[in-house]
Amino acid sequence: MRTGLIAAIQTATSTLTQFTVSQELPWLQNAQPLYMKNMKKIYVGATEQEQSILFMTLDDVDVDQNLYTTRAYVAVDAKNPPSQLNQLITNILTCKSQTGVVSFDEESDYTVEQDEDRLIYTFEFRLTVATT
Amino acid sequence: MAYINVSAPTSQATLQISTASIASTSSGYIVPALQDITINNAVGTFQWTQLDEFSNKTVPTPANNSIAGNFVLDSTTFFTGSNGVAGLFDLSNDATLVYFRVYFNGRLTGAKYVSGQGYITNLAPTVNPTAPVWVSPITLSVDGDITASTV
Repeated sequence: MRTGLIAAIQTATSTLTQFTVSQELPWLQNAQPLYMKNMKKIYVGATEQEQSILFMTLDDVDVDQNLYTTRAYVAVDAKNPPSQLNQLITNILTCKSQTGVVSFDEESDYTVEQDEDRLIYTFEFRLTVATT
Repeated sequence: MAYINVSAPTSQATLQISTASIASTSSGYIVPALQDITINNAVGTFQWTQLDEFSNKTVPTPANNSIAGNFVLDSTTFFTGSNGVAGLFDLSNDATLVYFRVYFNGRLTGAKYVSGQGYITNLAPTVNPTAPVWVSPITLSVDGDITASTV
């Protein structure tokens, strides 16, 4: 899912010249995640997977569903937010259905945190896939 | 006490279907991915009152027997069929007399089952966006008695 999501975000933000997309995971450098150091650069984290039962059956061939969760991060200057920020948010949220993963439920949302002079936007994408 | 636990892999409740009298546990096919199964043995009664009794009088009348359940559709057993037996949809659509066994706790020697013959009814496959896998109820309307036996 992560690879497809990065490609979708690259496409969705291709016209937003104030932002770039990184292929790197948002690892820590000097105890600080990369997106804090490189503002206006979008980082996509590793995908998490949670499996649960969609239909329980008597013969142990349960139909399961996998919930894939991936988060993307971008930090901006709180004093001078980029003019394309709102468009970035709108475009990124639509990427939930552009990942190439065949899913029956796609959700995306975001939260904002303030850290000193930075605003940190965390986007969360949740795709639910039936396994048969 | 000897409770019937169906949670072990060798003691699962299963429904076996065939279009010929079932001679062994490998006749016909097993309906896979059963979600639940219910055996209905509803003996009918006729009741009346009489002036010299303070309670109703009752006599039995013929039973209505059926097997009901729900299952997740498997393309092979629903459409194609298996082991020389047509798929469940065709068996229902063609009103074919089927023979069945419902195993209470697996199919190993000593396992209990009930058997009989009847017609498949009440297929109603359904699917929706939040549960995108086809499921359906199924009922076997039993023709005659349900017989309890041991493998």
